Amino acid sequence: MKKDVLIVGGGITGLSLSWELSCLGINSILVEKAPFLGGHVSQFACKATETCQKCGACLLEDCLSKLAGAECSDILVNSTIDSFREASRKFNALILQRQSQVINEKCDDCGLCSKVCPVEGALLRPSLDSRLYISNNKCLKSLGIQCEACAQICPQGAIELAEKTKEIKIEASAVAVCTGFTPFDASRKPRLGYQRVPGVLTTLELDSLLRTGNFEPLLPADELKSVAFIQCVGSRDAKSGANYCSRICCGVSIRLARLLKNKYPQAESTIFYMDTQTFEREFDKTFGQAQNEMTFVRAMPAEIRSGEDGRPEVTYHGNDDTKQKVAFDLVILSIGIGPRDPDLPRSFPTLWNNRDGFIGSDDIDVSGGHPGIFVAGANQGPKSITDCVSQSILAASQIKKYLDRVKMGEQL
Amino acid sequence: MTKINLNRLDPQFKNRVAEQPGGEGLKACFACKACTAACPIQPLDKRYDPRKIIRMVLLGMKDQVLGSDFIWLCSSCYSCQEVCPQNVRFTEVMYAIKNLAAQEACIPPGLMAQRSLLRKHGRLYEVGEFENEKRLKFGLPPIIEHPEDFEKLLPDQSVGV
Repeated sequence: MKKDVLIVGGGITGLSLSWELSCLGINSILVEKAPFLGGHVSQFACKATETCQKCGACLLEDCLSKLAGAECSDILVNSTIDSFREASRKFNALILQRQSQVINEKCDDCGLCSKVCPVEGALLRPSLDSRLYISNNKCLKSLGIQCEACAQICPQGAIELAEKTKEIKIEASAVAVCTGFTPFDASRKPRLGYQRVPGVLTTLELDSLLRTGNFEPLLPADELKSVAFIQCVGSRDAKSGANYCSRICCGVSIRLARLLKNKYPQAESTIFYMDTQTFEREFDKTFGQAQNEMTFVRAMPAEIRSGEDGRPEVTYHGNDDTKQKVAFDLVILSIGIGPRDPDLPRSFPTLWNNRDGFIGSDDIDVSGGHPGIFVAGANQGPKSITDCVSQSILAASQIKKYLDRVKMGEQL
Repeated sequence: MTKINLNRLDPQFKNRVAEQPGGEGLKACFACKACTAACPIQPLDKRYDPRKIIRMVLLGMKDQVLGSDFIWLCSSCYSCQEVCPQNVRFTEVMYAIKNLAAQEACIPPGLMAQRSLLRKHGRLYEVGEFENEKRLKFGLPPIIEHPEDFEKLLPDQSVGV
């Protein structure tokens, strides 16, 4: 298959880039490893209260609906790049696409398979998509264990666990790497109690619970009275190798606190911070208003433990110069954005190494350090959804410029 | 709130502390208060507040830091170092500050008494005939003091050499 651009990664940046390229009349093919599109953004809830909070989560749906009508954008999910070769300004990639193990035409959504599956999260139903998927890194069968519980119980015979792959050869003139980020693993900070103390969640978990509608059943409406947000978990943290600001967490926490207040009017939020960052243009206004709506405490907690009543208890040094131990109903760790290994074949040209493990250029530029290779999105550095979209627009114009020069036979 | 006399500040003090082994991380502090919240001494004595000590050093309050007795309160439990996101290594910073205090001859008398005990006996508690007789009853060998090495380490009564 001949294409102008190969896009690696089907998150918001890759999808938006695919749309922007199609607007410029450039053919692209997008390769996504997961069985569904949208990446991390597909887990984010809309944070609108009475008014829109401009979180950007809806930009993904926007992008997907636009792409559904686009003619020159192809998308391959469940696919990885197996090998990669460059010859006379053309990139040849061999794509392996795993065939879906659930036959959608037969599946009648009875839910029996989810009930018998011994592994949590092996059968996925991404919220953007009503179809059922089998997660290949969690399914026991794909890990080499003889388990066919779901296939045996399915009354429709809609599950075929035998793995089938399809090979697709692609020749492209340019490659855009949009592989996104890794959220900080909060269990690397054991003193904050993540996965040890009940009631401690990350912002990402809260976001996806709110999105899927699983949060409300977890806590009855009158039981959520106090919420603590801990900022800079895995950002501005030299010890964890993340000595940078993740740029999004202050906004995320304020929006989530407002959303919770909107859903649970008696819920009071306290935000523990060391430094609030104002990257968004309207942030000063947002922050000023937020100071009236929630409590800001300039202190990082020393530890979070399970208190006597079972609620998480935060130890911090209060504004009155004394040590405080306060129990909250819910503690949310505002986790940062970390670099992600793009998981490309070894024969892929070496990408520029930016600082802290991120790739590509370390300013607004989208070049990847090799002619024809571009890097955009959160794999280049911490970015908000809107920043990712605007960078994809920049990438589209840069790619167009590059393709035009290649067509003219110019020396690069 | 105590008044700070700007004329008495030493702008080079922070650099002197940062040059000491262990003091390197001093200037990376964000004043996030995690160390203070983790410190077991701070609730007992409000003057010993890791965050405030760092601010005092950065401001150049040399006399108030080195001449104080609270810098000797650190229990060296390393809790502050454990929670610090910026790798300030505050316990090590405290050693650096205490070393500087020793160079400026600002050591509390109690510590000086310990030093002379160490020099005389090679240990912080004198072991006499009474203790050795007791040890003999339990079938333990007697303890013989070796103060010679400590005499070399701590040459005379002057400090900071």
